Parts: sequence; structure tokens; C-alpha cells
Amino acid sequence: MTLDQLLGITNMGGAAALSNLGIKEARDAGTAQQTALTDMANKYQSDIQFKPYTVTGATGSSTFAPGGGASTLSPQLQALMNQLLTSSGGMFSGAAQPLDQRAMDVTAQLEAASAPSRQREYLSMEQRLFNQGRGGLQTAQYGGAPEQFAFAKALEEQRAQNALMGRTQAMNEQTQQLNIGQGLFNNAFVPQQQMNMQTQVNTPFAELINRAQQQGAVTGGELAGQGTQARIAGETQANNLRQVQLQGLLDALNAPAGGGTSFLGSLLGKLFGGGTSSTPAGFVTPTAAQQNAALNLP
Amino acid sequence: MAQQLQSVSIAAPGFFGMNTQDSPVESPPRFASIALNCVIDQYGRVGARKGYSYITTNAAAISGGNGLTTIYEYIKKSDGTKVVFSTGNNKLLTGTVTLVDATPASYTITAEDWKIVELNEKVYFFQRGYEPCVYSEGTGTIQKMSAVSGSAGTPPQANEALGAFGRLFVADFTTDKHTIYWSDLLQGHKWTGGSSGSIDINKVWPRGADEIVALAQHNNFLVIMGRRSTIIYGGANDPSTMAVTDIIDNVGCIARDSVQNTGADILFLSEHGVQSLGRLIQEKSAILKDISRNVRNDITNYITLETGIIKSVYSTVEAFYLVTFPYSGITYCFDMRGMLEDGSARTTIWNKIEPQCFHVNKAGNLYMGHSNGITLFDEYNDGTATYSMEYFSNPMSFGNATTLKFVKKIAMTIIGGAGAITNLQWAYDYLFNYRSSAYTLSSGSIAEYNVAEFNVGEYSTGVVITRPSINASGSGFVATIGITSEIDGAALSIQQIDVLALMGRLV
Repeated sequence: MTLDQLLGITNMGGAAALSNLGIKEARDAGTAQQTALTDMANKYQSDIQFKPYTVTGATGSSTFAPGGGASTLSPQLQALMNQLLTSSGGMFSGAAQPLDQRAMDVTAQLEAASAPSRQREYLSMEQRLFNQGRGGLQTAQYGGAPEQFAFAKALEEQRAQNALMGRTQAMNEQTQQLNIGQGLFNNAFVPQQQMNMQTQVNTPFAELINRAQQQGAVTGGELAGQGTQARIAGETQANNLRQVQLQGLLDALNAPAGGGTSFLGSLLGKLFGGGTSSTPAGFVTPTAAQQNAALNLP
Repeated sequence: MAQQLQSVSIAAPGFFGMNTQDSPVESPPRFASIALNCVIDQYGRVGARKGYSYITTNAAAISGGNGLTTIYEYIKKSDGTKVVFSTGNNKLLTGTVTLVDATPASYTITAEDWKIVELNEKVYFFQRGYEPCVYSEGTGTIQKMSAVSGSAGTPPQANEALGAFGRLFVADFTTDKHTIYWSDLLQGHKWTGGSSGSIDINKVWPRGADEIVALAQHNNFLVIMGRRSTIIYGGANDPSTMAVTDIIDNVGCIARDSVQNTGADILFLSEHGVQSLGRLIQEKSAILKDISRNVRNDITNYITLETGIIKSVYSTVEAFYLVTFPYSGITYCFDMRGMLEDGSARTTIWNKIEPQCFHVNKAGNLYMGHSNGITLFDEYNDGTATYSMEYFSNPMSFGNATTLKFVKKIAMTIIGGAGAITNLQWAYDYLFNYRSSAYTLSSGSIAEYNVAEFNVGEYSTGVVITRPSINASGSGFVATIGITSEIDGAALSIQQIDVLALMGRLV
């Protein structure tokens, strides 16, 4: 072995050592950057979690937690709501009563209202008949006098009208009760609606907080992604350097010193045996899923 | 010195009928104190009443009873034949000459107070406590009302019935004296359904309590006569709407069969005498306007005594209203030709004739019921018996009550009464110890001068005029003149009485 060969072998060794150092530094730099960015992403991951909050106003308060939300009306409004609901319940109960009984009650009231005038009319007719000497009249045609028959007929007609009016009035009343009940029932939830409005008004402020946290999470994700990219870039760079290094070595060994087969070539082959891949042993290229997880992407 | 005789002439004596109410001295001589068995004839004279003759020949049909109590003549609408119904001896009878028992089978009668009325080709027989009977022209028989085809409801056992306004009105039941029932229109045997009905007037009586005695129709009014008051309903053509138009207090009817419609008035017997409802409607005044005013106390006495069934009749032919009191055997005769100035009727009184019922048939003949059947008011005998006509003036003062009078002569002008023995009587100073002088009225032939007798086979008829004249005696301040004559088949009227009296000293 000549000196040149020896020097050449020394130079190749030095160059390879230097190349290994560069590769290692590139790999370490990418790994460090990935680690830093992942730490940052983890930090933002904790910030993105929902923070419970409570909205309080004149109508009451609403509390929102990860497990759900709850609203509590003010005592006055709650009492009002209860009163309206109770009243509406009464109205609905009235509207659901059997119609016949109410119709009978109304008819009885109408009968009672018309009874005095009816009694006056009857007494007047009775007096008139008596003065005409017809008080004791009985006829097959009319039962009594025609006036008495007409009175009785009118009486029955009025009773029938009263019964009809009673039924109509009962139906109207039930309809009215239903309407009032519905109105009360609807109004019973106005405080709740007001409270919902109050909550809705105050929700944007919570949304701002969440949005900032979400922005942080996005930023963290982006940083994690960038960290992964940085490592990939470092590994790529280290890989390139390795390829350059190996090419240089391969060129040097293959160059024949007098034109024949190079001895060094075979020696180098023995030195580095099997190391023909451009990717250094132990280096694993990340899969796409690993890359997405590192970027916190779905 | 001899004094001049004073003459008092009474033309148409008793023309005003009896007057037992006014002061006799001042009473006009045209009033009579007694007018027994007299009527006021068509010339305004006091004359003998007619008597009766029997139409019925089979008295055995009602023998054992009290004679006929009701008579009614019905003229069939189909052929105009007459059916005379009568009641007596507890039977319903038909016929006049021969009475035939037409009582429905299984129908027992023990009372005699029937009221017979007519409606729409049917004759109805009513008596209190008995189911009404009906004669139907179609069947020609008398049936119980419940057996009549188409009858409905409970036949009313009423005592009073009236056929008027196209239906029957009935009242006066055994226990109900204040309800009037009426039948369906034109169907007197239908008492339920249709337009039948009733009216209780118990609260209408002006005195609080009364009982219906009679019903009448007058001037399109339904007249309901209680015993002490009268109620008049208007619009009874529709009973369901009829109404009281007048109530007359204290004037009622005491006898169902005393009610007679004269056309212008309704005459009926009240507690105060015979009343005229027509006048009552106009004047609404009762007692002072009764037509029996001049015999008021007499007739009220007979009313008080009466226990039988009072009957009456109004005859347009005879122009009188008769009301008979069977207990007393007296019949009052009220002349209806014209009323006196005080509104009363000229009144005479009858006895011995004693009718048990009356009926004027469509021909105007006056039927009467007697013990042996139907009689006709026509002859001047009561059956075969004679009767006494009596006329007495009121006490006459001859215009000077303070001077003693000596009746010297009594002269009379008497129409008819041929052959009758007549007593001329006189008495003084309100005493009844009459002095009398008998006189037989002329029955001589009548001159027929200047009367054509061609083809007339009657020569003995004519007017017999007798002028009896007697010399009287005695003296007194007032003198009563009378005449009694036995009526035996001939009419008699007193045309004029002339009295010659000598005026004596002053009291």
C-alpha cells in the first residue's frame, strides 16, 4: 500500500466521520424542533378544553358546564310562571268539563233571570182572565184558555231557547276558557323565553373565549405540524448528506489505482459491508397517520 | 034638598091588571084588586082566560103518576113531521093523542124534572142525577147518551141544559153547582175532545157563593143565572174566549123553567118576582124594574111557599107570560102586549087550571101538561069543568075620599059570556062583606045585519053584549065593585062599568 493510498484511505475516513457528524446534527435538530413544537401543541390542547360559565340577569341565571346547562328563573318570575301554569290548568280543566252540566247550570241561571218577568206576565194574564170571568176555563182544545195555552207555549219556547242559549253559552265559555288557558299557558313561559334571550345575549362573550382557545388549539396543531415537517426536513437533509457521503466513498474506492480492480474497493466493502442503502440503518420514515397525529389533524 | 047623583064610569076596567102594591084609594080605576082567571084581551079589556081540553086519550099511559111534567115538540128536518115528547109517570113518552112509552131499555126513572133541548137533529133529555137520553132523528128512538153512536166523554148528569151557539151548555149537577160544561160543536153527545170544555165560575159570583139555576142565550150573550146573581158572558160563540160582560148582583133566578125568551127580553122568576133581563142589560137595575112590581108581595109569598117545580111559558099568540106555582095552585099571567109606565106588566092571576108544564109548539098552540096527558089551551072550560072569573076594582073614592057615598046603581057592559050567571058585587070601606046581585047574561040570537052569509054555514056566532044594571044599596067612604062569572064554554069580557053614587055628608 502506498502512501497515497494510505492517505486516500485516511481522507476517506475523515470525510466519512465528518459526514456522520453532519448527519447526526441534522437529525437531532429536526427531532428537537419536533419536540418543541409538540410540547407547544400539547399546551394549546389543554387550553382548548370548554370552560363552564354562568349568565346572570334580571330574569335569573343560566349555567353552562361540559355536562350540560341549567337555567334558574328568579323567584318572582318562577312564582309568576307557576301561577300562570296553575291558572291555565284551571282553565283547561274548566274547558274539559262535561258540557251538559254547564249548559244546565247556565239554563237554570237564564230561567232564574226570566222567572220574575214570567211571573208578572202570568199574574197579569191570570188577573185578566179572572176579571173576564175565565179563571176556571178548561177546554179540550187548549187545556185552559187560549191565552193560557199561548202563555204555556211561549213559556216552553222560551225554555227551549234558554236551553239552547245555555248550551251555546256553555260552549262559548269553554272555548273562552280554552283560549284563556292557552294564553296563560303561553304567557307562563315568557319568563323562560326572556331568560333564554338573556342567555343568548351573553353567549357571544363566552364564544370569544372559546374562539381564542380554539385559535390557540389551531395554532398548536399548526406548530405540531411544522415540528413534524421540521423533523422530516432534518431527516431528509441527513439522508441527503448520507447519500453524498456514501457516493463520495464509493467513488473513491472504485477509482482503480493502475487500472485494475481496486483493492480498496473490496476493503471498503469489507469495512462497510452491507451498507449499500442510502438510508442509514435505524432510520424510520413516519407514516402518514403518524404525521397527521403529530399535526393533530383528523 | 035632593042631591045630584055622581056618576063614575070605568071604561075598560082593570085594563092595567092587578095592583096590590099601591094605595088602593089613590089607585087609578083601571087597576084591579082582583083579576082572577082573567086576561087582558086584544081590546084592552079584562076578559076570562081560556081553559083547556085534553088531546091525549090514553090517560092510562101515565096513570098512577102525577101527570105530565115536560112537553117538547120536535120537527124533523128530514120531512117536517112533528114528534112531541113528554115526560111523566117516570117515563119518556112520545105522541099527543096516544102517549107511547119511549123510555130506553134498562133505564129507570124515579124523578120528574126533565129539561128537553134540541141541537142538530137530536133532542136531548137532561135531569140531575140521570144519564142524559138522546132522540136521534136518524134512528127515531130515544137512547141513553152513552149508547149514541159517536158519543164521547162522560155524559153530564146535569139539571140545566141549553142548546145555543151550536153546542150544548149544561150545568147544575148534584154536587157541582158552579161549573158549566159545553159539548163539542154541533155534537151534543161529545163531552170530551174537539172544542168541548168547561168553566168554573165559582170565583166569579159577585157575592162569593151562589149556584147555577138556569142558562139562557140572549142577544148573543150567554146568560148564567145563579140564585142570587146573574153573570153575562159575551163571545160565547167561541166558549174558549168568552168573557164576562156584565154581572148583576142580587138578581138571580130561582126556577130553571121560569126562564122564557120573548125575543126582545128574557123573563125569569127571581126572589123578587118576575124580572126582565133585557131591561137589566140596559139599565142594570133590578128590583124597581121588575115586571111583577104590582103584585110583588103576592108573588114573593107564593115563591116562598113553593116546594114543587115552577113552570112557565111565553106565548106569542096569546101575548102572555105564564108562571105557575104548583104548591099554591096559582098561575100568574103577565100580559106582554105592552108594559105600563113603571115598566111592569099587566098582571092577572089564574087558579084551578093548575098546569104542570107548558109548551108552545111551532104552530103557536099552547100545550099544557095535566094529570091525564097533554091538553090544549083553547076552550073556555078546564077540561069539562067550569071556572070562575072574578074582577074586583080597587076601593074607589069617586074623587072625594072625605064624603060619604051611597052607591045607587051599577051598570055594566059585558061582552060574551052568553048564558053565564054573573054576580055583580059591591062593598064599602075596604071590607069584603060584598053584597051581590046575580044576573044571567044574555045568550040571545045575534043580528047579522049587513053581513054576507053566502056559503057560510054558521049563523049563531057573533058578539053577545049584555048590559046588566042593578040597584045597589049601602054606603061608605070608598066602594069596591066586582063581578064574578062562572065561565062555561064562552068567552067573557068586561067592557065598561058605570057606577051612580049619591054624595052624602062630610066625615
